[in-house]
Amino acid sequence: MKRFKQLFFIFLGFCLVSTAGTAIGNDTTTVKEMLVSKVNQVITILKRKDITDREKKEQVVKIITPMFDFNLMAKLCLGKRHWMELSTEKQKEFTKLFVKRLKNSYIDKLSFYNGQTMKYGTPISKKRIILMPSTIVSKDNQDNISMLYKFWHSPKGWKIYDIEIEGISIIKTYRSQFNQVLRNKTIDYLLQELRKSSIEKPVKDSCSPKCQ
Amino acid sequence: MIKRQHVSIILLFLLGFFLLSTSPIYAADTGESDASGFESSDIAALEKDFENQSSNVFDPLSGYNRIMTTVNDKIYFWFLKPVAQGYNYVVPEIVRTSIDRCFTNALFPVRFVNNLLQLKFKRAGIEISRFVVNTTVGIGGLTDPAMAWLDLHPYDEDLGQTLGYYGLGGGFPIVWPVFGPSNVRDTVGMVGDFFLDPINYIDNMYISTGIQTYKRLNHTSLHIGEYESIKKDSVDLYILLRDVYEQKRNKDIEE
Repeated sequence: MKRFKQLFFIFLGFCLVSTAGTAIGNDTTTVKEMLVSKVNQVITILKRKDITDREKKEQVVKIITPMFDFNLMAKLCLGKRHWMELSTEKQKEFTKLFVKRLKNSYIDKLSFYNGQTMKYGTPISKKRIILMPSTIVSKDNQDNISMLYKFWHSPKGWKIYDIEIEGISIIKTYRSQFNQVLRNKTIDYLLQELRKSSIEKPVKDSCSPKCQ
Repeated sequence: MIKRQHVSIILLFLLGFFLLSTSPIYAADTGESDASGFESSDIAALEKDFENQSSNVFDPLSGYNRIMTTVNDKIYFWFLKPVAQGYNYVVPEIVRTSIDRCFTNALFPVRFVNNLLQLKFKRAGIEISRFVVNTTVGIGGLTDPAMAWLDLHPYDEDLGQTLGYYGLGGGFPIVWPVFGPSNVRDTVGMVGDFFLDPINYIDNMYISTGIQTYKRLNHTSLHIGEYESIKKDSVDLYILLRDVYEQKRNKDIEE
């Protein structure tokens, strides 16, 4: 009898949690599942041996692009004050160059891939934001890197607007640099710098773990 | 027994209500995220998270710091990197990793004392276990059985973090030759930690400096390409490194 009662309570508890879960857990689960599936796709591609590095990079970019709100990222990096000072044309150009740079920088980091796996934490939900903590686990478990993906509920669904790598926010680092540049130079100078770097970018000097 | 179950049921109810009440109720979407403006209140709200830090960092040494950043860049590309690459060519990675671990193991006093100073007794205890296991079974720390078999992870703490833990701010940024970005608080910390590093207790200063240099070189050899990758991302290298340093330290202190 006692056992039965226990079972009943457990069952009741389970029902409660699961109904509550379907009602609200939705967004966090969607976000988590999306991230997990994207990361898995990326890892599968990185592990393939039948395609060149270039092809790998192209495919990976194709997979992850829809997950990001690049336009918002550009805005946040420049900051409202500077953004509003720009003409629509300049805003567009800035966004284009900046996004290109972000993607290049991401691609560049892919060459550090060396069999790592991903571990996911519990998503944290705030108003229109979901934070998704996770860890890149290295093969020997020694050099793990903490990653915090920040999603916001954009009109086009949940999108990443910032990533913190070991507590270092991508947006923050760009923001302080752009702020510094714009303190004593014009936006044209900044655009020129961004243009320059996106031409130079092709990853030839990058050192894969193998050549270490 | 029954009572405990009642409590858990109540908790479950509360949890359910809590979850339901926090469930996001989205009104119709306002701004388009790809519109050119900043009008959407959501975006403004998101921006708040990034606002405080960016613009006004007190940086009285910025002139010197910028020069030192360039100097360190040259030290890396002209000296450290080529030597490390040559060293890589001769010494297999597994050996270099082991040596790196051994040096890390030797820094046990720094981690132990600073965990204690922050009253993190459990972590200090884990550090002791790690040190004992790795020094004996792990042959002087060349391997890390404490992690591999016992799942004991290190808790890296230093004096800079301890000072930060007790509420001391970083002060202004200072870039040191060879050591790279730092700030006033962490410089003080570095001096304190100097006395907890066993290598510095070797009588002969040339030998201890030599070992420290070798340690640095060996460590660099395992991380070639990382600095280059960061540098590539920069629009203003000094500001980027300064910012990365501060953010990383803040996170380390939080943990």
